[in-house]
Amino acid sequence: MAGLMEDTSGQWIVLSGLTVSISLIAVAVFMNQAATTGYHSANAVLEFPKDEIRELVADARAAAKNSAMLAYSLNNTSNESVLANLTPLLLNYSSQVEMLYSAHGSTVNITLSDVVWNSTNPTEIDTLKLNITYNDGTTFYAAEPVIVEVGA
Amino acid sequence: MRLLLSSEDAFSVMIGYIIFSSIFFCFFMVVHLSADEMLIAEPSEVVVEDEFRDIGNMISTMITDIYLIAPENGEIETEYMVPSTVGGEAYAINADSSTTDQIIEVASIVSDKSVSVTMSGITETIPINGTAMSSTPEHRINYDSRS
Repeated sequence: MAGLMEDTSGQWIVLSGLTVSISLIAVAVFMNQAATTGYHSANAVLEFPKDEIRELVADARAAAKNSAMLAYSLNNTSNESVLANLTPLLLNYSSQVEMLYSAHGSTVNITLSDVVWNSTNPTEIDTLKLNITYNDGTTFYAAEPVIVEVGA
Repeated sequence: MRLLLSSEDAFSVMIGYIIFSSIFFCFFMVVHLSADEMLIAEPSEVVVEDEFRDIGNMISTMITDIYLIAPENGEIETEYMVPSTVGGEAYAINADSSTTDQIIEVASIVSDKSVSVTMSGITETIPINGTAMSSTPEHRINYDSRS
């Protein structure tokens, strides 16, 4: 121990220790300044449910188109018979989607608002109009209507 | 001169003490006089500038996202949260000049600090207007295309 105390030939080690500790302090200061930069802009991208809404609308379009074609192929004797098949198909789809989205903390509602029949073939559906609403507590979206092209 | 350079005799402890203490005293005075500017004003300016830019980018991002999913006939309303003060200063988010200048302005209402963020041409198709004060409890962006 006495030898250790009297040995003064370790100047470079002591000096490098000082250098390292000062650079650590500098790094800590820089990191403190960088901590909050970009928080709000990044949070807006993450929080805003852009993709959820786009997905919902795109999926509803596809499902409505398929349902309309299915309803037509099931029974196309009259307007009423096509509607009688289409309405429960869409209701079924809507209730399933509502359940899926409520599991992720948002409420959606898809309803059929209007049907435009083909002018030459009156039992065939030309376009469908869907009312779609989405609400996740911070963002409310309503499209009244979304127009779905069915006729090929 | 030669004698001075080759001499290895140092000052007396007393002279050394006086020289060192006067240097440190001068240094202390300089730091003391510029401490407020150096340690508080400048970092605060940097923080306020960064935060305003961040908030401006957030508004710009949200409006761009709303623009991307905007329904032809419908409504989007979204709520966002911002700090009520930045660096101890309340501020206003102003979109009134965005129709002509394509900018969102985030400006302090206490000092003259302000930051403008561009809107990348969206306001040509969707006019944006409104002012939000940071101190109000709720902030919303609303899009309505119902006729």
